[in-house]
Amino acid sequence: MQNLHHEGLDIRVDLGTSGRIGLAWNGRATSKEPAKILGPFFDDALNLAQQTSSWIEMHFEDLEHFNSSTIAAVIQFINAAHSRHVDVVIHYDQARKSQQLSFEALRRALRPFESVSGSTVKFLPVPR
Amino acid sequence: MIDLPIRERWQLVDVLRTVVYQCLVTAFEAEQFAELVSMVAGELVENALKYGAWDGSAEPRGGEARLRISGRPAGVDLEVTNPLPEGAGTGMLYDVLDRIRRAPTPRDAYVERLREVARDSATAFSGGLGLMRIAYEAGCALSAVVEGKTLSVRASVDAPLDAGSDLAR
Repeated sequence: MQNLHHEGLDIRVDLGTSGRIGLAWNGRATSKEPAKILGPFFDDALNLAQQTSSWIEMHFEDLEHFNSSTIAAVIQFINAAHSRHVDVVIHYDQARKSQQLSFEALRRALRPFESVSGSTVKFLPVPR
Repeated sequence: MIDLPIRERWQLVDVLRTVVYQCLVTAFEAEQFAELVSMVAGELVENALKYGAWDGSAEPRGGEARLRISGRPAGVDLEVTNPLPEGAGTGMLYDVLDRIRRAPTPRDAYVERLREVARDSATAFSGGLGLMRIAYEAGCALSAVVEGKTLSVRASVDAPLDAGSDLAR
């Protein structure tokens, strides 16, 4: 699986730990149609996670900004991971109000999906 | 007062958002507030580019598209104006504003829309999410006015108490 570079966004793939697929977001996610780029990338990550029985760990702490279209792509990815029984851990910067608000809303939005049999999604605020 | 033209170049959104952020953070030394206001500007300009009367040239058809930001004693007002495409309705826009108003809180409206988007993974359509996001994250009041064939969407963002002493300077 390759790193993703698109416009101002970089997602670095870290496969250095067995059982873990690390995806570290950097820069700005401001694409007009992020699903076109992120969709295939997320599919690759989910396929690899299923093949290797790994969980996916996403790091957003160094992401400067993401638009609502990217947020839509992220929540669809998390929902897809849930239905494909892949665990997801999301790290975000607790000190930044914008990230705190964004991920708090995502966490709340995903609550009803938790009761359905699937995987777990954890949100970990990182103090910086 | 910031008054900037909007052209049909998607990369311009990030430039405008960054300009707004730099202006506010320099003038008021309120980094988190500047980040929220610049996010609001970015989402509004993105909507203007998605739903305005563009035909492939840099300028919109039938009028100007602009981003205006003005300060007031306890916050800032943003306005994005753009011509509407021929025959375009604004029903979806007013539905979104109505959903925000009718929800117990803007967060409830946004969270509900996120759930709809999560369930509807077959489509990349996430209409209304940006407006609901800015109502929730920036806590701003939203309104829209159509005059002739021009749409203006307005957002008022109140500054937190620690976000600079006089934003209207």
